[in-house]
Amino acid sequence: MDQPILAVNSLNSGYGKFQVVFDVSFNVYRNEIFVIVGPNGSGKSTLLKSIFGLTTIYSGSISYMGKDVTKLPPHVKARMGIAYLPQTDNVFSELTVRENLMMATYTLKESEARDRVEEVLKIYPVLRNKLDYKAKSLSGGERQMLALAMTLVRRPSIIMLDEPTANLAPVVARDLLKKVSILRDEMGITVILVEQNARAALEMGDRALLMVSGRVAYEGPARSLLQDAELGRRYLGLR
Amino acid sequence: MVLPSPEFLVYSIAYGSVLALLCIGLTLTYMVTKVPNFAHATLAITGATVTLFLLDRIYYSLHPVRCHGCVVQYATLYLLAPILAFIIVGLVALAEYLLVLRPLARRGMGIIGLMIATLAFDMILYNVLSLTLYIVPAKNLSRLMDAPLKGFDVGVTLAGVNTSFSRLLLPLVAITLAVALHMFLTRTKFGVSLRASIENPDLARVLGINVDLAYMVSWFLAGGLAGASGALWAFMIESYKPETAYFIIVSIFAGSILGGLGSVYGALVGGFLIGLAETVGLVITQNLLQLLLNLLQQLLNMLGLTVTLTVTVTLTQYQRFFSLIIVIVVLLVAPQGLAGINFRGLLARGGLK
Ligand SMILES: Nc1ncnc2c1ncn2[C@@H]1O[C@H](COP(=O)(O)OP(=O)(O)OP(=O)(O)O)[C@@H](O)[C@H]1O
Ligand SMILES: [Mg+2]
Repeated sequence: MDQPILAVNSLNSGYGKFQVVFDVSFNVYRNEIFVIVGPNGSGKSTLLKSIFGLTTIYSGSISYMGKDVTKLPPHVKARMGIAYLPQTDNVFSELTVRENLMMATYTLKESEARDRVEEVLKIYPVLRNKLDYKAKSLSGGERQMLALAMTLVRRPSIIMLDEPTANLAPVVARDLLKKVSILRDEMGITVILVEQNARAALEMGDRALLMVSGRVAYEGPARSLLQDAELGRRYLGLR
Repeated sequence: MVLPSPEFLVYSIAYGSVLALLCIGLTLTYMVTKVPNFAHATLAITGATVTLFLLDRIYYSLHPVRCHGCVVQYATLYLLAPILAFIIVGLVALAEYLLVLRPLARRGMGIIGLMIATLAFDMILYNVLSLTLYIVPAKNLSRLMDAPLKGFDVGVTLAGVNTSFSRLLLPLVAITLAVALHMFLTRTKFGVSLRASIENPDLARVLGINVDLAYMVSWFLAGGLAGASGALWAFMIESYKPETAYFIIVSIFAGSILGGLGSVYGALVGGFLIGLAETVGLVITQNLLQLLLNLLQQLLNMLGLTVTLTVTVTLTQYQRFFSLIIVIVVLLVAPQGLAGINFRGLLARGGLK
């Protein structure tokens, strides 16, 4: 395979002195869906945060498109085309939907921002009627849609989705995972997907990482992890 | 009479306006850095110092008492001083954030440590001011310290009320700056990003917002507001001294706590109300007390007892004490301040929907 779009090397990170991620390495290649699974509290969210620079990094490196970005501040990474949908607190609840979208297109020029917002409102028409409502008045599902819209609106090169289907009705969740494939196939976006629903995610993913207690327990083709009876049963509740 | 004179009312409103602007600034920095800035009053006095220097160096001889027909020229002081003070004090506040608070916060210092750091900065700033005033000789004033700044205001009689230029100007300045701040926070992309950065800094960073820059601008604005209001407040000070700051800091905290420390609008209202309470409120209370005593005396006289009752305390000496009582009551009754009170709920319960 060619050069990875994102390469994580021997990453050790955590919160202050509390280490959560231990010696994690993996590569993500252009145009693939990279699935990260693992039990609750295994450090999946912390890993994504660390990639974005929102935690304390003790050692290791992260490079993006061949450039070392380990020490870059988060807002610079965002401007380089990395997007991230946090698992919690992923919208500004005190701002209106309109203002939230304005913030999501913060780095774009005015006219471009307007077009992009129009674009995502077509994908999530529910939001259009709520533009002047504060995000805290949205339902859990609507809020998640807003968060997704905010992640996609900048047309990033790579997006990291931390449990995007949380709070969504099963039908909507399935639909969303389908849309993730569309992102890759039609828009050429590379996707890192953290998902509770391991089976669905691994079925659509190209390659996968299994995290257990902050360490890598498996890295390889998503299918193989799905078929690995031992790992699947022990950590993912797959039969 | 129970009610104070119209002159005093105008004074109260001007004082309330100063406090409102100071509370907005304190609340803004509190929202950004989560630490009460004990140096905020000294920032205001730094603004007053700008007026002092302008007066001594440029405007002394232009004062209407010394120069007839210079009123218009002299009036530019009321514009120049706040603008200059806004910039200078904004930069001082920015320095406080960049040189003291941000490095300490990044090293993981807790709120108590940071609070003490603002106190330390306050002392440094106070000493720098005192030293400057001591070293720099006065040009026109007899001395820079203890200068009777109040005397440099221009008297105005409006609708039979004897007042002054600064007192009429202050409410206008407060309203203008508050509206400008509101427009900035709600109508501009950068202003909205400031609110976003306060609510959820990590999410703001993830979206490409430079949160650090937003925080720096907040500190600059907070200092600027303190400087501008301090520059005009100078005309209300009997005699200028850097330690005047230590009296008003209590009122600034009172107004900010009343406002809930979480919204600039709450701070605006809280500061203004504390300003009124400390002035008009106090006088009314004093007068009511006197009235009550008079009534009591008459009653006793009617009963055949001849006694003379007089109030010997002047409440106005207990101005700050009054605002401290208000703070305690607010914290007991509505811990979230004015902004936390569910007014709609209260109205609905009262059937007034
Ligand atoms: N902000 C934080 N400060 C300190 N510790 C944290 C913080 N967030 C998470 N942790 C700790 O880090 C560990 C890993 O948490 P993390 O959220 O990364 O797990 P996760 O794999 O995403 O779990 P889940 O599947 O439940 O989302 C947990 O032990 C958690 O307590
Ligand atoms: Mg998680």
